[in-house]
Amino acid sequence: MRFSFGQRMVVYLTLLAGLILAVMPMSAGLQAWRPEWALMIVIYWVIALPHRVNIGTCFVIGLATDVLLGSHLGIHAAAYSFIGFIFANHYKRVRNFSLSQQGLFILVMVMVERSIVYLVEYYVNNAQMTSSYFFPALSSAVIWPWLFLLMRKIRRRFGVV
Amino acid sequence: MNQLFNQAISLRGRLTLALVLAFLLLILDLRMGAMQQVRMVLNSVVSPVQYLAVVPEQTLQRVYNSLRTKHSLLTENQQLTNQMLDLQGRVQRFEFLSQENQRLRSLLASESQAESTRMVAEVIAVDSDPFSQQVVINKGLLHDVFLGQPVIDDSGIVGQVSSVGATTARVILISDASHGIPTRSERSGIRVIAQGVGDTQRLELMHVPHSTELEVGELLFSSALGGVFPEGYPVAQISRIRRDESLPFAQVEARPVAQLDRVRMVLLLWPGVGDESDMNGDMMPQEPDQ
Repeated sequence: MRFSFGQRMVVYLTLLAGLILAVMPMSAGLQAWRPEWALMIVIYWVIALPHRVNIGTCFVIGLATDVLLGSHLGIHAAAYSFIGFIFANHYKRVRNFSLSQQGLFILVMVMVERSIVYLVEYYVNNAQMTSSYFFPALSSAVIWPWLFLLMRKIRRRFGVV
Repeated sequence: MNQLFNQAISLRGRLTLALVLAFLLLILDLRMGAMQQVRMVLNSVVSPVQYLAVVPEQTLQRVYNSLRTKHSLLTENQQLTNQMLDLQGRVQRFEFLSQENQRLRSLLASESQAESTRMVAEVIAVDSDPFSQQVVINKGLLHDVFLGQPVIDDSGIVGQVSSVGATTARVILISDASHGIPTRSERSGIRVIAQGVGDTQRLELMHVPHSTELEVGELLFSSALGGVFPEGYPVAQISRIRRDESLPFAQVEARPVAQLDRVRMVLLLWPGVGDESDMNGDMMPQEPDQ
């Protein structure tokens, strides 16, 4: 089955939206709770279309995150690729999870991703861990069921398979 | 259907490739200079995302502005007029002093101080990365922004430009853990380096002996010794001095004068070129050089 231009565009536009949400200005109080939008959206596509979107896409989105956040190039790229690998390997299992189970899985995965980023940052420039560092894992897990339903709606509406 | 298994490279191979590539990028990026060009291109590529990300906020602001009452606008106008009058009064005095200073300097046959060109820039993104204190501004290569350019706000030094894209630039704040700024204290003239610690409310002064004359409340000005920041802009105010004899140096903390946690509008400086007139953000600076 061919992956048409329009379908490709749907995937790219949602990923772009994820990146925009990842850098959108927020009030200082909510800042610490910002979910990992870009990561969650790319994870959705890996689960939905594992043979179209996998580690390569994750790498590119991670690199874009690196540039947008001004961290050293390659840190988020590596972390996202690793998460992408896990989901591409286990997409069938994740598809059979209930939404709340998926949310829990996302919680763990975002924590893994942030731990990787922290470890690299720690070796590179001796970063300090703050107590709020893992808040985004919680908020991502809470948001996930709704994001998943929304993305599925978008995917079915535009017939992306 | 099951294309996953007849792809050219297996998933594990892809992961290895991605990790190796990321590692190479990281190594190259850490060796400063090697990736500066690549970063410039990448920054330009992602700048639309940054501009799109502030659209909702700007729209809200516009709606809010159009809904404001005539009365509140008049009040604000009155306030601004008063403030302007006050500032202009001070500027008259300042110009007189600056001329007198030049005359005295020429009498002493010492080098006169170059004035700088300025341009207003707006902060379009604040980093959500907890490990770095940076902001993105809406001016870039096209406006002659250069690497290491000093950035100030209305009260003091904010930071310096750390990477430039075509229409955006990234500013590393003085509070970033990897940033240090040479300063001179106001009263005693002691030279100290103010090092960021990753907290917008706190700088640490490095290698201050226990016998120091520094006092709490003293202002620190940029000393121009590093060759990046021009001389005489306020940087921070000393907030705490702890003399613990068991440590090799006194522990001195200072609070940045600029409001780093809510910086919105900043001024870019082109040191040592011509007149001080270019206050307009749309106007090009006159022949900025490095």
